[in-house]
Amino acid sequence: MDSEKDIREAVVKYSDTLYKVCIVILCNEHDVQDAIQDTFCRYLEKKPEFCDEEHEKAWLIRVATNICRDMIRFRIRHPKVSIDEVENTLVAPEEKETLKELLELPVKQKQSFICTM
Amino acid sequence: MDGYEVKKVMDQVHISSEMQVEVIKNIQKRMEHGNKNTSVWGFRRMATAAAAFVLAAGAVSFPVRAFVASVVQERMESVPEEEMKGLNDMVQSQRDVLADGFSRAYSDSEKERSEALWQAYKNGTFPEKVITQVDNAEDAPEGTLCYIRATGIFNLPAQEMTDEEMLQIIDFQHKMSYAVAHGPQAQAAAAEAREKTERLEKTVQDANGISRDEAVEIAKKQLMTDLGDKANELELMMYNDGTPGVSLLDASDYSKAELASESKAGVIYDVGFGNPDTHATYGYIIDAVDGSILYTYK
Repeated sequence: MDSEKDIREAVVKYSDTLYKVCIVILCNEHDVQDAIQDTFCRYLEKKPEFCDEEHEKAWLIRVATNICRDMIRFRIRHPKVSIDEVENTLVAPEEKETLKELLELPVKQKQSFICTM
Repeated sequence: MDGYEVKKVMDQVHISSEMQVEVIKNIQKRMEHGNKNTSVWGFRRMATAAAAFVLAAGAVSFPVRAFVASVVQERMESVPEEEMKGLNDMVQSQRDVLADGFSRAYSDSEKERSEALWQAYKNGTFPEKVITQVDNAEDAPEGTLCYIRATGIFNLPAQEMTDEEMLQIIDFQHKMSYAVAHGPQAQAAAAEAREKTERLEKTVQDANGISRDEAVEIAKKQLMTDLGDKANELELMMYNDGTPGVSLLDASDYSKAELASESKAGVIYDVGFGNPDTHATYGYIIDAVDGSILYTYK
C-alpha cells in the first residue's frame, strides 16, 4: 500500500462510498474532502489486515464515521453549506426531499442509514 | 423515509472526479514526504480562515487565544517580531505544504510522552533550546532533529526522542501557529471580518433588535420546550477561549437561502447547543430584530 498505484486504486475503489457516508454526516464538501483524506491516511499508517473486501470496506466506513463525528465536535460552524451540487444531481423532487430529510437527521440516526450505502 | 428510499437517493450521489483527483494528489504528497504522522489537514490555512470566521461570527476575542494558555501567550509575545515575521513568511511560502509532516512515525512511547508534554508545555514547561532549522532536506544533519523549511517536515532522529527534543517540536509548532495568526494575511482577514461584524451589529441596533444574550435566552427557552428534561444534556456551544458560540450572521451567508427573505433585516443569530460526549447538537436561527425563531437544526 505504499506505491502511487496502490493509493490511486484504493481511492478509486472506496472514495465514492466514503464520500456518501461523509456528506450525509458533515453536509459540507470542504470537510468531506478532509475526512476522506484523513481516512486513507490512517489506512496507510495502520496497514490493517483484512479477511476480505467487505471487511476492508467496513473498516474504512467505521474510521470515516469516527473522523466525521470528531470533526462535528470540534469544528467551527461554517455558514456556507455547499451541498447544492449534491442536491442538483437528483432529478425527482421527492428525492431532493428525501436527501433534505436525511441531512437534517441527528448524527446517530444518520448512521443507521450508512449501512445502505 | 426508509432505507430503500435513502439508497435510491444516495445511488445518485457521487464524489466528483475533481475531488477524487485532489484526494489522491494530497495523499501522494504525504507519502512523498515519507511521513505518517501529521497534524490536522490545512491547519495553518485554517488558522487564517478561522480567525476571519470567528470574528465575523461575532466572537469578542481574537482566536489565537483559543489555543494559547497565558504562560504560553507570554512566551510567544517575547519572541522578537522579526522572528515571528520570518516564520509567517515561511509558512505562507510553503505552497505545497498542507500541514506539518514528520520524517517517521512516532513510536508508541513517543506518542504517549507527546500527549503529556503538550499539557506540560501549556503549564509552562518549555525546552531549553530551540529547534534547528535548515533550508532543504540535503542540509539536515544526519541523525539529529531539525525542521526543514522548504518542505515543512520535522526531520526526526532514528532513535527515540528525548523530552527536550519533543518539547522543541511543540514549541516550534506553537510559534508557527502564533506567527500565522498574527501575520498580515490573518490580520487582513480578521479586520475584514471585524468590519462585517460591526456592520451587522449596527443593522441590529438601527432596527432596535435583540442582543446576543437575549438570543441565548430565547434559544434556551425554546430548547426546554422542544426537549424537556433532555435539554439538560446539552450545553451552549462555546469557542475554545470560553466565549459563547453565538454567531451574528448575514442571513444571505447562511446555507438556507430562504432565511434571507424571512429575516426582518437580513441579520440572524445562530445559537447552538451540544453534548461533547454524544456529539448531539441542537440549535436555532433567530431573527436578530424581533427574536423569532426562523429555523431549528440538529
